[in-house]
Amino acid sequence: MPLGAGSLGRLVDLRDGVIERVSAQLDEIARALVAGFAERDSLGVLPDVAGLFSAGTSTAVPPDGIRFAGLSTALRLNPAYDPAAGGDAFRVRDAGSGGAAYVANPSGSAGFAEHVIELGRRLSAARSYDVSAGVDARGGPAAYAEAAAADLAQGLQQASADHEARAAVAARAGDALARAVGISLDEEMATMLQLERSFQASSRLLTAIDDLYRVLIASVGAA
Amino acid sequence: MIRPTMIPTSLVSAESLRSIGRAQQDLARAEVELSTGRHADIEGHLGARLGASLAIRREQEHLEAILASNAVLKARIDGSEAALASVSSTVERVAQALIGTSGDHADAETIATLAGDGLAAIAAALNVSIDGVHLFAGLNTDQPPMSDYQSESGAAARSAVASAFSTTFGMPLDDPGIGSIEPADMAHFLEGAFADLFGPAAWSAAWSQASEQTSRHRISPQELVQTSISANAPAIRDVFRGMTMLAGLNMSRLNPGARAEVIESAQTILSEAVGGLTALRADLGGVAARIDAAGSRIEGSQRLLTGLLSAQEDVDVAEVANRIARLTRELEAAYAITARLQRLSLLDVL
Repeated sequence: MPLGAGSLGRLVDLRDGVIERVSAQLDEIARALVAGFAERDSLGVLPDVAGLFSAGTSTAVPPDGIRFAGLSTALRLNPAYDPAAGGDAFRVRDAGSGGAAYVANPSGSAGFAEHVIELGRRLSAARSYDVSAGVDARGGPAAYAEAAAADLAQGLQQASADHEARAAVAARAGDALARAVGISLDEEMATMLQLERSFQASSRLLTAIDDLYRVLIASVGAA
Repeated sequence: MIRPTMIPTSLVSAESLRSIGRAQQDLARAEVELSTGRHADIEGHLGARLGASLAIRREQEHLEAILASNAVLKARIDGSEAALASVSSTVERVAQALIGTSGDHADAETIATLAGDGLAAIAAALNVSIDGVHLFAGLNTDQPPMSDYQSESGAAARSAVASAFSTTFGMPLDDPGIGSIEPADMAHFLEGAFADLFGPAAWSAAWSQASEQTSRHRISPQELVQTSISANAPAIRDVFRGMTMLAGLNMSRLNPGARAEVIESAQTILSEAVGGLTALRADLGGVAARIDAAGSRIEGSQRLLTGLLSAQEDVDVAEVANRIARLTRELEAAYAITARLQRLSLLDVL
C-alpha cells in the first residue's frame, strides 16, 4: 500500500488536485464567455470591451489563452446590459456599452439581427485556452464545458475502477486476517469435547483409586 | 493428532454475505435502468465519451430552437404573401377600371376616388404586423412603414407632390388654370419631376419609414436568408407612383389630352408594378420553400442525433430484464446458502 492511500490522503488529493483542476476549467469557461460576448470596435482600433458578461467590475476582456484565476466566481452580468442595474437589455442587439465606437446598430433599428448572428458565430468560434487547466479543447465555451465534463467523468470512471480494485484487495486481506487470527467454533467445540472426555477419564481414574483405598482400609480395619 | 484444517467460523458466511451485498447493489442499479431506459451511472459509464454525448444534446437544442424560429418566420412569410396578394388585387382592380374608361370628367372623378381608396387599402396591407413586427418595414420593424396618402399621416407625401407640381407648372394643384396644361408638358412632368418623387431618397423622405435593408435569419445551421421584403422595393414604389398619379393630380380638372396622358402613363406603370409584385411573391415563395427544405433536413439530423445519443446512453431493456432475473436468482441462492451454513454447527448437534 502506498503512503497516503488512506481516506485522509485522498481527501487532500481531492482538495488540491481535482477541485483545483475543476475550478481552473470553470475559470476558463467564464473567460470564454466574457470574450465570446465581448464588444468590438467597429473600426478595429480600440481594444475589445466586456459585453453581456464582465469580469467583476472591470470592463476589460481578459487575454486569450491565460487563466484568469477566480473569474468563475467574479463573473457577472454587465450592469450596462442589466435593466435592473440601470442598463439596457437592447445592447444584446445593438452593443455599444463601450461607447459610440462599439455600436453595431447606429440607427437603432428594431429588426437588426446582424450583431446577434455575429455573437452566435463568435461564441462557437475556435479560441485558445490555458493548457494548465488540463482540458484540450479549441471551440467556444460550450465545447470547452463539454470537454471539462468529459474530463471529470473520465476521472470518475478511473476512480470507480480503482475503488473496485481496492475493495477486492481489502476483502482478500480481511479473509486472510480472519484465517490467521480467527477461530472455528466447530474446532473449539471438538477440543472442548476432548477435554471433557479426558476430564471424565481422569475423574474415573480418581474414583477407581479411591475405591482401591477404601477397600484396602476397610480390610485393614477389619483385621 | 492429525486434524482437518478448519476455517474460522466468521469466514464461513463472509463470502456469501459479500455476494448478497453486491447483488443488491446491482439489482438497485438495474431497476433504475429498467425504469429510465438509460444507464444508471452515465458519467461513470461514458467516461471521456461524455463530452460527445453533451455535444449531441447541445446540437439537438440548437436544432430545436431553429425549428421554432422557422415556424415564426413561416407565419411572417405567409403574412407578407397575403399582404402582397391583396396589394396586387387592389392594383388590378384599378387597372381594370382604367381599361374601360372613356376619359371624360365623370370617369376621372370615379377613377381618382377608386385610386385614393386603393392607396389607403395598400398602405394598410403593407402596414401589417405579426406579434408587433411590421413585415414590410425592413429593419425598422417597430414602426408601420407606410402612411395613408389621403389622411393626416400622408401630409409629407401630399406636399411633396404638390410642390413638385407647382414647381413644374407654376401653379398649385387646385388652381383653376390647370386645365390649360399641354399633354406633352404633362408627359414630361410625369417622367421627370413626378417620377423623381419615387426615387429611393425622396421615397424614404416622404413616403416610407421602412429601411432598405431587411434582416437575415438563420433557417438552418448553415443558411442565413433574407426572409422579408422592404416597402422600399421598386415594385411597391411603382404601385404608389401609378396610384398617386390617378389620385393626386386633380385629374378631373385637366383637359382631356393631359388626362389621357396621365391615364396611359398610370396604366403602363401599374402593369409593370403587378409584374414586379408577382416577382416579389415568387421570391417569398422561394424562401418559404427553402425553410421547408431546411426543416426536413433538420428533422433528418434530429433523427440521426437521437439515434447517436441512444446508442451512447441507452441500455438494452431486454438485457436489463434478463440481468434482473439473474441477480434475483443469485440473491435467493446466496440467502439459502447463508441460512444453511448458519445451521451447520456442532453446537446444534451436541
